Amino acid sequence: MRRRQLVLHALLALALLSALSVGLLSGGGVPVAAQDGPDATPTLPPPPLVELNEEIIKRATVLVMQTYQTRGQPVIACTGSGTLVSADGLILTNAHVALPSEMCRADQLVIAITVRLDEPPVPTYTAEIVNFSKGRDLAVLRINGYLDGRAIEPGTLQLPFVELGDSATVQLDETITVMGYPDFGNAPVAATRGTVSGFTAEARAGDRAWIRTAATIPGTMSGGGAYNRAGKLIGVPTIAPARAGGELVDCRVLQDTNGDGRADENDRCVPVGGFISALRPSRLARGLVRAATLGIRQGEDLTPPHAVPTEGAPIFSRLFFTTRVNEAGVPANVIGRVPTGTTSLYLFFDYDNMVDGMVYELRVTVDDVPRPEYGLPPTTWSGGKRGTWYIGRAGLPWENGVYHFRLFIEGREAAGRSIVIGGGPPTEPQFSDIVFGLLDENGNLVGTNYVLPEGSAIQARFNYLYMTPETTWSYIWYFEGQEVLRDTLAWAGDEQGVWVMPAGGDFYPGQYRLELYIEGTLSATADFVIAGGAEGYSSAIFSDFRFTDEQIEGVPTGAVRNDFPSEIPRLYVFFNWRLIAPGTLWTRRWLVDGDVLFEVTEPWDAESTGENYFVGLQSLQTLPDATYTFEIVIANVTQASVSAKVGLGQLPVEAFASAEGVLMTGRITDAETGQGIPGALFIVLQAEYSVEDFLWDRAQVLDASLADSQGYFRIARLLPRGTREEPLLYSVLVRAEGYLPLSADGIVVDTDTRSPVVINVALSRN
Amino acid sequence: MSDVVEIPAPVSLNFTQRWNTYLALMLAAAVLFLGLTMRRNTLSATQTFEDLEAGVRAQVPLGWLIDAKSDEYVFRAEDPDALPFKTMLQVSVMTVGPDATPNLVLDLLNMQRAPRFSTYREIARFDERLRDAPAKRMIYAYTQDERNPFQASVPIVVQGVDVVVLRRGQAVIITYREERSDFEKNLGRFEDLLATVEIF
Repeated sequence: MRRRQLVLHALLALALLSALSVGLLSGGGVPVAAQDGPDATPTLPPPPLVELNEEIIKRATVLVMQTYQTRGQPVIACTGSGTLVSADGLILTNAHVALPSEMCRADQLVIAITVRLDEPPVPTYTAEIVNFSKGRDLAVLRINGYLDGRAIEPGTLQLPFVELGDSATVQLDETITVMGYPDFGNAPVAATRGTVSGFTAEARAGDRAWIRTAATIPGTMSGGGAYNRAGKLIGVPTIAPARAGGELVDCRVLQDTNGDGRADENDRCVPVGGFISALRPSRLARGLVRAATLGIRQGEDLTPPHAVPTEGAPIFSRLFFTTRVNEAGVPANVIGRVPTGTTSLYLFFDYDNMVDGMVYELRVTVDDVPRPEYGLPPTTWSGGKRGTWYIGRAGLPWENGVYHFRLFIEGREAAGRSIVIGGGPPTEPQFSDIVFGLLDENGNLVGTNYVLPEGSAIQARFNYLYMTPETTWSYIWYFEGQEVLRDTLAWAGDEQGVWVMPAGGDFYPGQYRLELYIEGTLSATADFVIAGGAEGYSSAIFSDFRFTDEQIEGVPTGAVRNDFPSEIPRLYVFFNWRLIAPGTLWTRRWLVDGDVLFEVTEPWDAESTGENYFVGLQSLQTLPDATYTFEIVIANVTQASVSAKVGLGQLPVEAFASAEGVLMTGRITDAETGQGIPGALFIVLQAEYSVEDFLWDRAQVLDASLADSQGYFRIARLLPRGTREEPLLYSVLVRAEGYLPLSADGIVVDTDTRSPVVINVALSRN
Repeated sequence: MSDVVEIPAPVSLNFTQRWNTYLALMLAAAVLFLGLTMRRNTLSATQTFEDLEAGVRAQVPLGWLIDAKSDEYVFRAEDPDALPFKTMLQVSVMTVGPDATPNLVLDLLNMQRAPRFSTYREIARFDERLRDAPAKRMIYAYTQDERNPFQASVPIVVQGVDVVVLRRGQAVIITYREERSDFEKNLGRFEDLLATVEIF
């Protein structure tokens, strides 16, 4: 009987403890102590590449599909790759991947993302074009909705993204990784590794207009990303857009687009390019991306952006070679033979009737063997209608041989020229390094550049070498392409030195050219511009710059100032000009805090002298606080640079989000069954808070994730890293109804932490 | 040889033993009741949320995650434990004109939500009074899916209710959202919020 009593009392005590336990542990708001059980301990992920986080890069790589509707059904017109460059859905890709064209009829851009790394991408979003450069074949898109038509709530997208790296630091033979989709979406995102095999120079973009690689990159990866070892985007793999009548490698029929019940050769096919060997450096995309990130676009101008209509067939002419290009983009010399060991060679040519976006190509053979590394694969034209252009390669040895250069426009051969590389240094007479200027009162040439004032006595200066007395030489002056003066003389100078020659006649505003010949062979040439009035020995073309935030029909109606309050939606700059000939190429730039956002080169299209030319910037909402600078450049000489401050005069610190950080992911399971707990909440606190400090205030939360149907969670925001000396310590909490809550402090994230940090948690039922 | 004394087994408990047993049972019952009461109190415990700028004060469940940093609402409270949908209570304020009505505000809410919420649909609308002020109640439903596209989550059918009341050029919107199957069960939370919310 006594035993029965003892058992009874024990049961009562147990009931008491149970009741207290129920009351305490199920308190939803009571912070629980950190439980660093084996299940809550972060498990080390398999060793990834420490620097190049392939998972994030792969997830940031998207498939861009141009689609249209026919008979209510979506049809895929063209596909390409793209890369997320911001968490809120900005995508960098090729312009031809996003812009509709004759071959790519499209009325909607569909974005497919890599949900599972080993599976093809899943169409998820729609997108719109924010910025693009048809010539450089780059575009920035913005995800603007879900595929079912729903709009995206502002601030809700937290997509993995990559940062643009500094493509100027890319080295020869550096290992790069190219990401993209190798198929129409039938295969998972792929990485191709290779090395940088060289660089190709192009006018207006310098010696590194293209990064060349020998890696095998399928054409469908065009628009994707090329990364350095640090995982920064340093280039966009680019292939020429498919064109009607062009050389298509492949065109595949995917759907029954004509509704005849069969998918055959009568249906529209999706073009496939060949292989990519050139990358557009990321520096050429930086302005487009930054402008899109800041929500800035070019606004109203005096004249709308124009595509000059072509009046005839596009042509290339006057091909010649040089070994040096000066800072103004002018050839230093003209050569007919290059000695052994040369490391730079450029092909110059004139062009006319070209249109940005046309496809052109340079094919090179050496001793009749095709050598694509010396040429330029088919790519889009970016030089406008008329001018002088060059393609070349510097910094790498050119082997000996007979080189034949052939230029193509839209697949048709347009011009060609040969040159021999080999032999010793040239000893034949030569001219080089032409510059233009004015003589001062002491007879010295001053104001030397390629933009000179109207009505002045222009002088040309050039170097000469290996000249012999009585050598026949001649000069020809051109104005707007027409010869205006020519003379042939016998050389009366020394063997080498500097020669200054006056230019005869009056110089009116316009574009001029000087050609120097020795024994009837072109030896040096340079173009220059006459514009503006003399101001000392320089040209004064543009004046009276005024910033304002309002204009009506070309008249500034807002306050004219250089210091604007925050949150203005538009900014205009007005200026006057004089003596600039229509057709003169000029470049205008907008810089924000020193970064070039927009740069447009086009022929001057207003009258020669006038007032109140204006260009503008605008925002969909308000222009961010920053210093806005407007520059005008002619012949690579900066003619004007003016600035205005908006608000504080500098961009907010967080204007450009960092893609640096650690991904946190894992699974929340039932400790008994091992099954995932859908809907379980995983919270990561800001690094400055511990579990004990947490007051269930959302402001203390870095990010949270709900477990999916299998129990997997994924913190969308990357965890900022600390340093080795001062690591950041994170606290996490896991909650699910019917389970004992778990929490843990002290999850270390520093420079050595490998991403992703995987945390698997098993919850016990309460 | 020793003597063996046999003690007969007691036929029944004596008085003390009986009352000891009764007292132990009563104590256990009392403690169990105390525990359950503590649990209930803990679960229904609230804390005061106050936003002097917006002029809103309310009692919200203790231990719920409070977000008061958004421009979209004055505060949003979510039950961190709830599965699979995080039960949500929210108070928001919308600036309206002098001729606006609660009905118009609900129309505007419908127009805002339709493009954002998948399969959004209004279910019913009623007149009611909140603190003697005329108010309008609307019940609606939609399907919610995970915004992180990298997670394989099944969409959830969510039912919600808004109560709109006007004050001095503003519409105050009090909202409750819950997974459809638990909507009625937790509606009391919303009624508690309505009973305690002060708009000043």
